[in-house]
Amino acid sequence: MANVSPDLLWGMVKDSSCFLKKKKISGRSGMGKTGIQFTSEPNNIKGINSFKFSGLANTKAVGITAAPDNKGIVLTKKITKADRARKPSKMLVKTTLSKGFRRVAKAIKAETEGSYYRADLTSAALAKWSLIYASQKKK
Amino acid sequence: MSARPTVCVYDAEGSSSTVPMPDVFLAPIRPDVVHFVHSNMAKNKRQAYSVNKYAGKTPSAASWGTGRAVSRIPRVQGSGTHRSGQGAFGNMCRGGRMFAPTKTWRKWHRKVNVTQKRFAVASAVAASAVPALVMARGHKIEQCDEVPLVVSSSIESLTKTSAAVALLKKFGAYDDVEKVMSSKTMRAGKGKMRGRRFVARRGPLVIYNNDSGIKRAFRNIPGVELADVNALNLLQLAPGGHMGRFCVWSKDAFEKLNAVFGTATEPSTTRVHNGVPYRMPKLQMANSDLSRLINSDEIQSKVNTPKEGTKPAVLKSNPLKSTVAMAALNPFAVEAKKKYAEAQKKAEQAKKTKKTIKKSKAVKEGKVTYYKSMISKD
Repeated sequence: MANVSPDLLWGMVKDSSCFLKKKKISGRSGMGKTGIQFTSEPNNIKGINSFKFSGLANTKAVGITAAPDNKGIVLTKKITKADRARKPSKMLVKTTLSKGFRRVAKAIKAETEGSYYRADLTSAALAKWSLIYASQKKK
Repeated sequence: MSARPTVCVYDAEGSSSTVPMPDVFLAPIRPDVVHFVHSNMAKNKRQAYSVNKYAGKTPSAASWGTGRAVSRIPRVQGSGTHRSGQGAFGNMCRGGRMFAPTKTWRKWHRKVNVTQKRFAVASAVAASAVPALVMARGHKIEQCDEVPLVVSSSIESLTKTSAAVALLKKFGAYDDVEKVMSSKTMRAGKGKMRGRRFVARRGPLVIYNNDSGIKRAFRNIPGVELADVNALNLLQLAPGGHMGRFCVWSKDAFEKLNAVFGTATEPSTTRVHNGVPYRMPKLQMANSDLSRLINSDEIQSKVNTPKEGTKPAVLKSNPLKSTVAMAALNPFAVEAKKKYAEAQKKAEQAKKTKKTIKKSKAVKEGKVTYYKSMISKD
């Protein structure tokens, strides 16, 4: 809609959101130095509270979570069509990727860089996949 | 502008028809206005309290003045009891009054301009149609079919809570109720002993036009609140001053919004401002997408071309760690490193051979014979 844009949304969401995890460096009163701000929102690859990674504010966002059976990952992407943006149950497209490290990495690259989606998230997405892969390999 | 967006109307069979989006959903979303109006409106339910006005002021007391080597605080008169001679009145004294005793005539309530209130309500309604803001407020709407969720007007004549729950489940709105149930915890602080024992999150807000049973059907579901579309309240639409309450509208209520708030061109039919029909707040910016604005032809054609002559910053590297950086500073460094490595290798080799000599059989045997020769056979 005309009255919202990613920039405006980010302005509203960055300081007050139920997903926000603020860390303090010093002081208990709330007046001390604040440290890095994390977020637990969906579709935020790094979990860092910033406009680039925000899954709430951006119209294009990528999320990677471990698959339910702990084999491979579920990759989620926001659908950019305007009529889908208002439908939370149909807002995302989910793909389960579980076919070996290199093939999944290739698929992630195709999903983020391909069709001009979010090339800036590729490295973060690959980093997350390699972390998840390492955790799944351990017994 | 593109075609006017429409919203699906859901009923027991799913979505059957659509209604056009009322214009109030295009109102400017202003967190600052909502926060200001909310914080002032929230003050209007307060009850006056204060300490007893005589508390700490009852003893007769007077200062002893100077010269008695004690502080000049008022002291309780008389003798014969421990209290006499003790300090009184001051906030630092035992049994004294508090500092700046609270008064019942504190300014408890705030007047909020009607236009500001209406602006805030329009803004909060508009925000309730943005999934990101609804999610950021903490509502569980991942399974919800659509935001704003509009349900056919038969919802208004529901009389059974079980039917109401079934309806919420059908449209994916029950997750939010479950969140409310699981969030119920003991309140922190003294409110526990004052009839406010538990706290829980807020659930969906059900908005109706005509109450023919809907209130009774929904009111016992945890976290669910009800509102009449003709009397929308900011405290319900933006609890805590945070916009984006999850709203479930009846179709009648949804269609009434244009009459209540007016449209972009027409004023409201139900509200008056100083005798003139009320008009909805307008957008100050037609497009608030900053990156789109910056990259637009209109702006890019006016922007200066980048100035030449500025060198890109060179990344500094530590020559003690990077061989490349060291070689750039000292061309001999590579050769020196190689030589040093060779010398070390040679030294290590030498040490090794020396060790093997030590361990050789001849030496060992020599040691044994020497030991035996030292011990006499007497």
